Amino acid sequence: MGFHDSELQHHFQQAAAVAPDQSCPTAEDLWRARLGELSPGRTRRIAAHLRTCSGCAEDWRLVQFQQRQDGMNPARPIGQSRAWTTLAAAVLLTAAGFWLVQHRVERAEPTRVMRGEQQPGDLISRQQGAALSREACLLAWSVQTPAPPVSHYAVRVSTDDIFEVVFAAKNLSEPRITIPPQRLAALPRGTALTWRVTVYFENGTQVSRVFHARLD
Amino acid sequence: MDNPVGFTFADPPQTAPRPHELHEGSDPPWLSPERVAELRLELGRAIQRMCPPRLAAQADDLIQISLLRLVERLRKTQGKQDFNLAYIKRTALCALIDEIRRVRARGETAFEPEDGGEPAHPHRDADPQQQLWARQIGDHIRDCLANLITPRRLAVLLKLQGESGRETATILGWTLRKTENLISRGMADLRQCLKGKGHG
Ligand SMILES: [Zn+2]
Repeated sequence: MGFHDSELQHHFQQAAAVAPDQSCPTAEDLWRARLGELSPGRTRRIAAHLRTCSGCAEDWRLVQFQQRQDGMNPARPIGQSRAWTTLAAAVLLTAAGFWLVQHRVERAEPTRVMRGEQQPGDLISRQQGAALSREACLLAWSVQTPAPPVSHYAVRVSTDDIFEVVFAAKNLSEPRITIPPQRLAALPRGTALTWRVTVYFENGTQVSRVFHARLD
Repeated sequence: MDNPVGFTFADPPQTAPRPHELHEGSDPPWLSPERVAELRLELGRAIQRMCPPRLAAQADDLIQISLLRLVERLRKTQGKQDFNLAYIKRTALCALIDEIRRVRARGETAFEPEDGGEPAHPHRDADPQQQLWARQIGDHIRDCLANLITPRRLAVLLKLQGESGRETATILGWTLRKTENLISRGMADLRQCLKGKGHG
């Protein structure tokens, strides 16, 4: 079976660090390149550099996350809310049709429909952009039908910045999990969290999705 | 970490100048202690929000480094340029990335658990065989990308970095249609190449 887009992304992003060469762009250049502020040639050289330098690739994702959080996503029209940005992040990982829902969010904002990015049969996320409660951090999701019978789920929650795993659970029979508050106790307010849900189907296939949120 | 700035705004050592003393003469209005205090407050908020827990101990240093950068810029522009919140956050993030790079360069891993508790590295709890396999795929993806024609390689690289088609189009200055086309073809090339390496 071939790789899903999300699996390729995961393996690329988790690959062992390659020694960076001397041409690492500055953090400032990464920032400006992602906003399309540099010349095309320079931007392309920086993008190409990400293939051989996992350090800069990781730095790029930090910039990406921050710019999305601050509404400086170059792709984002002015006036759309943070919920849209979070939703866009959720839809980045395109693959077979199922969707995940995260509830129990505080200060919930109305769900917005993604336009323009979706392909036929793509993910329809109903994730809502808001902070996760550290006392009752329930992650819940569901699989869009039609889908093969589900065997079990796995969840891994990490901080966005340096991929520190704060919680992981395997062999879940229910599409939900509450993160024990003590696992979140040490994390500062506003910590960016990424959680990956993998659905294992009885036919042996599996699909993963990654979501982003902040801790309240 | 060493404090390359050499002073702290909260408690300045005797040998180091206060920020408003960086400029000769009396305090210019654009570098008043009040303005510096405001910048420090905003930087503190930004750093607190984006600083990973493992670097929490460096937060004060990062605030100072960022503050010095802003003060330097204020000084250079004689106050003609001031900063909005977005610029302050950008400065904070760049300082944070520089620090992460320093940690990397020193060979220290920011991923090691500090308390000997839960595994901090995503692959750490996988079995060695799986780790090896995962690393091999990562390497093969990088190898395969090298063989893609340049436009496809760039499009796929950004896709693998989590950028959307629209974001990639903006970053690379292409139309969305062209970008999506390149991503689609590039991803197909990548899968084909991986297949040739025994994946898929
Ligand atoms: Zn680099």
